[in-house]
Amino acid sequence: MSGGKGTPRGRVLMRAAGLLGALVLVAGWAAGRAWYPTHLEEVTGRADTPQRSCLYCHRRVEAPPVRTAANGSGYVSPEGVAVSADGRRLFVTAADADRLLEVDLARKQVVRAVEIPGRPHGVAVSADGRWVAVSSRDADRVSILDAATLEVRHTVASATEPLGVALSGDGSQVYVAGGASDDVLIAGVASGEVPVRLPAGNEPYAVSLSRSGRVLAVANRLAAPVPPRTIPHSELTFVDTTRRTVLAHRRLESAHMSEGVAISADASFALATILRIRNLLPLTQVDRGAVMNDAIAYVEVTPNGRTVQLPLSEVNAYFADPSGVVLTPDDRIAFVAHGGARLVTAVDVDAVRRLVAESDSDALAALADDMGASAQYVLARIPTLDNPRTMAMAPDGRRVYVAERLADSVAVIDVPELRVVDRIDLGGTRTLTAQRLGERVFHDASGTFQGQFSCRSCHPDGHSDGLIWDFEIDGVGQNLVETRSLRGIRDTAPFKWNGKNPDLATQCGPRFARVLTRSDPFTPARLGHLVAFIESLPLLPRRFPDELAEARERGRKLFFRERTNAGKPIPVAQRCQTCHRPPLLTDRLMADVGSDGSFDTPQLFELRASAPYLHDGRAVTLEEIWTVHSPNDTHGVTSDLTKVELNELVVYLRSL
Amino acid sequence: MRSRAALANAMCRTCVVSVVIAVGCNPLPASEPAGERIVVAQVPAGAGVSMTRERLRPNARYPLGSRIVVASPDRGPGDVRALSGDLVAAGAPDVSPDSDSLLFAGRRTPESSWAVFEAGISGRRAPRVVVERDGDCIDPAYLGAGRIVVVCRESAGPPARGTGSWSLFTAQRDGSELERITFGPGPAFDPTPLQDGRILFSMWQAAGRGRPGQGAVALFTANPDGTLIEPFAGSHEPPELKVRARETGDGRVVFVADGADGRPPSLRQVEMRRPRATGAALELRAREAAIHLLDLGGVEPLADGGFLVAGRAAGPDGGPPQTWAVFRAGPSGTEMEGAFDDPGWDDVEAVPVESRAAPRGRPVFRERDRSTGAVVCYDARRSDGSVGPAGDRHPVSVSVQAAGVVAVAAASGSGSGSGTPPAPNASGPASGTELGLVPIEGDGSFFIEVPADRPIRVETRDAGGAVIAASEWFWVRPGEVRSCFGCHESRDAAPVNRVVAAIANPPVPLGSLAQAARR
Repeated sequence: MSGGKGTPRGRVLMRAAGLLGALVLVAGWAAGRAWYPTHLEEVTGRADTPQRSCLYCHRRVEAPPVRTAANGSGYVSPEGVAVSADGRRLFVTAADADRLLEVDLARKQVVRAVEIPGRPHGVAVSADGRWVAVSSRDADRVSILDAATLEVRHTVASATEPLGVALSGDGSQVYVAGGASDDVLIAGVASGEVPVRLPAGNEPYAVSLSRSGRVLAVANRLAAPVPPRTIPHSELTFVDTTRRTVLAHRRLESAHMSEGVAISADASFALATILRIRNLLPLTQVDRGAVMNDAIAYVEVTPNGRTVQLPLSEVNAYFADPSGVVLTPDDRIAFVAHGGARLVTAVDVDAVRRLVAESDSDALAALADDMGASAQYVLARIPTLDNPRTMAMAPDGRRVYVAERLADSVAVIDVPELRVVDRIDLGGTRTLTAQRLGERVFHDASGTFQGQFSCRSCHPDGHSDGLIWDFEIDGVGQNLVETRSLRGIRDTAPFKWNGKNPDLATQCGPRFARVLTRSDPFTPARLGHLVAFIESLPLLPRRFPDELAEARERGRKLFFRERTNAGKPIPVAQRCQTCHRPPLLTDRLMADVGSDGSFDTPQLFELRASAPYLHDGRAVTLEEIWTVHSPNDTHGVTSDLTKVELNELVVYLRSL
Repeated sequence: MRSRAALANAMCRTCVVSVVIAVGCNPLPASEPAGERIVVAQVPAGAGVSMTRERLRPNARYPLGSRIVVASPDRGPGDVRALSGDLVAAGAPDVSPDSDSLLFAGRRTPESSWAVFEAGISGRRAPRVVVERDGDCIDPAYLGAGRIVVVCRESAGPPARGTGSWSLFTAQRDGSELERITFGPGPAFDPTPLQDGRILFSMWQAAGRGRPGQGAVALFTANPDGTLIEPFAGSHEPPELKVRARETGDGRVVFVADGADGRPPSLRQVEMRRPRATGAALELRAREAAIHLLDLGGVEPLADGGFLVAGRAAGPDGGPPQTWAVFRAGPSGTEMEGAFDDPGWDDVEAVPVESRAAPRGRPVFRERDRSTGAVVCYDARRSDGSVGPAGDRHPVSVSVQAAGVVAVAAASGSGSGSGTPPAPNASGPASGTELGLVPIEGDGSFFIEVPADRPIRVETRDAGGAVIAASEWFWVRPGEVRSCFGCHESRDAAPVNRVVAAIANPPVPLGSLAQAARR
């Protein structure tokens, strides 16, 4: 053919077509270049928005995933352990497998597994040995099983993110720590009576019932939200189970992250695991416990009883993330599992009691910061496998069973010998995915100088500790920042409040080591695993009371409104949806909302559990963002909202 | 070298760290001799060296003819191989964590300065110089993250910056990026890495409880970039000389201690978990006859929990001292026995050729482009009670002072005078220059900008201007923000979580200090 590519005419046509194409491209580029700023300003409402690639906004993203039932990973991830009344069986909640496992302790193997949907967490056995209670964290219920048959006989609804659980001696009452409702629920298992809810601090996590069943101790994980430059505190709550009233709330100053509590047999004292924090000081060093240290709180139950914080750390060694704690039946030895340190500490409780009895109040207060004190009461450090979290004591006090959460095993500690004498394999896949390896890195404090803290220490369950920190890198005493949640952040780069880290590998890279861990940076392999894990962190299931559905809908409309109540158009830049654009609820740009600078726009998921708010936590509640810190509509237009409307907006935001 | 028994013992020790009650964790008896190979520093027999009291006189420690060899104790003294090549003198060996190489100090000629060399343990690689400069460089050690530390003496420079004294320097393993990291008024020496990444070393301090007016040598830690100088142990306890410290694998630090009481040097130990409160003698006990050591060349932990000790033993029945030899002791110093003794040589130092975990690294906190650092004190009123505020005397101001170097005349030459570290001269650090006076906030805090890389100290004063307490000399590196938790507070104490008034504003700058001083 005369017009073929090989002919002169064909070549001319080809060149002409190429030229035309190039012209179109150039013209398109020029037009786009002229149009782009206008488009950017239309979308953001701001003329100062830095130019980005089209894909920065126009890419396919979805809202972060919400954690669902068993994740199909094949891992077991034991969260809770409890021993049967006769000491022959061990019950283990397999959080990643949605199962309750029954272990024959003589055969040291799993003999039965029953399905418990909704991420089973806490487990307890009634003193009469007949009942087993299992909390389903994501299903908002507690299952009461016949201990012999492991059939679910009763279900107690608890729309509260049920965590720690205890059963009365005869199994008729169940006590449940409500992580999402900030209370402890007391309910009859089969009586149908109205449950009682008692306030128990910010994110109640663990419960412990005295031998008589009359006193319940409740530990809460997060400190109460406080404004910047305020000493944070968590608390230990004692409940009179007979009267169903709170006996006392005991303040634990500069302490939080209580994931374990053990009350003595005679209900005279309780031990709670804590992280002793020093967030009001500039983070100029981590040496000498300058950031935080692992500890236990010794709290006497009597009305004027003492509250003493006792470090478990040593001067040159730290044992991060104390989690579970159990007491021997004679209350003479306590065992504390350190999730970030791969060990269990045995504590001489007699020595603790002597120390408390012989010290005046000043000396007891000083103990909390004395890293050398542990030499007086620590009996042993007992190595375990990855991420020991919860423990159970055998009824005869001779064995402690330690859930090694990220090793899918249970370590058996011989109490007289103070060492691990056995290990029970809980099954689960042997394949270690990048995510699983990253989860181990996340919970392992060995990457920090002297093992002082892990990623998890500030990001429990990948979320935020709710504390406000002062990083030296931002100027000592200046630019305080609140810890941000890591859940659902995969597509929300850049990171950090100043938006300087383009990806998670940078965020957790060498600079992170210099600023925070103060040790060797993560190796590339460990960093890759860590990033894979963080990117996989889902949001928790949303909990929203039905009775607020209408208010929520009105709040949603307010969030997406484009006109004020007076009908006046709201400038694009001051609409909620502009910066907090779905589906990520962030435009991933910097914004100045009148809080002393421009900051990376945060996504809005899980706001309910994310107090305090704004980059430096200056707003203790969501309402304060607008009632206190946005007097001139610097943070969206809200000044025209009625009090009711503002509440409805908050209801909507809390439901995200 | 790390046998099954050694591993079992190491694991066992892991479980008994901090154990008050430990049942059923008996270390297995070691079934192997002191080690397959050891590196030994040998001095011609009869040279009469003094290893502890001549720490800062390398010529006296390692006279001409001294050398480094690798030996196999179980094959006897005849089976040694020299590693120091053609050097006229060599000593102070340190074996790399992978046990492939060693660093040591050496001299090419009788006139040359001491330099640091690296050689292969196999002996097939000739020594190559790693650090060589105008002044002497000795006592090298491997750190984490591919770095090394050496002790060098500045040969010239302004006295105010501490030149003329021995200081620690760190460098890349090939000797590049050599950087001075200690800036005290007196000598710093005998560095050794801690597993957590810090450097443990000996340093003279003015206020130590040594001979009146002469201070003492205690153990300190600092980061490899020289930031965060901290007392580690022995600052307030006799004797006044603590050198040759080594971290063991079971949570202890052992070191050589010497006093002015005429008794020979001895071994002491502290526990890492509480080094300032656990000092105790490490008694060496022989299996059969007692071995009395008159001098110690050093102590090196073994992987199986025992120690290699180089020492000069007293002769039997009060006879003349024996030559220097290498001994092996069990984990608690028990059942010491001879491990190696080359009759033609004094075996003054010995290091096992064993693989061990490399120390961790630490990031660099020093900022090269800065000339100042800062000191933030959280509460100058907080004290351990031994010094500081008493009664109605509250600190209301803090005087910031800078010092010149302590001229340790005796140690200023490679081959003359006493090398016993150290004694300040009359114009020593007690007469520091005041840089300024800064008010202390009502909550006891202050935040000041100070010159970097020179000895400074702070003095708290009451309303009448009288001194309440003075710190020991310390330094900050450029860009370092140094936190003080109190004023002579317990070093075991973490800071109290509280709002610090002084950090509401930037650090008080030097200009203001000078202004305040003029007022």
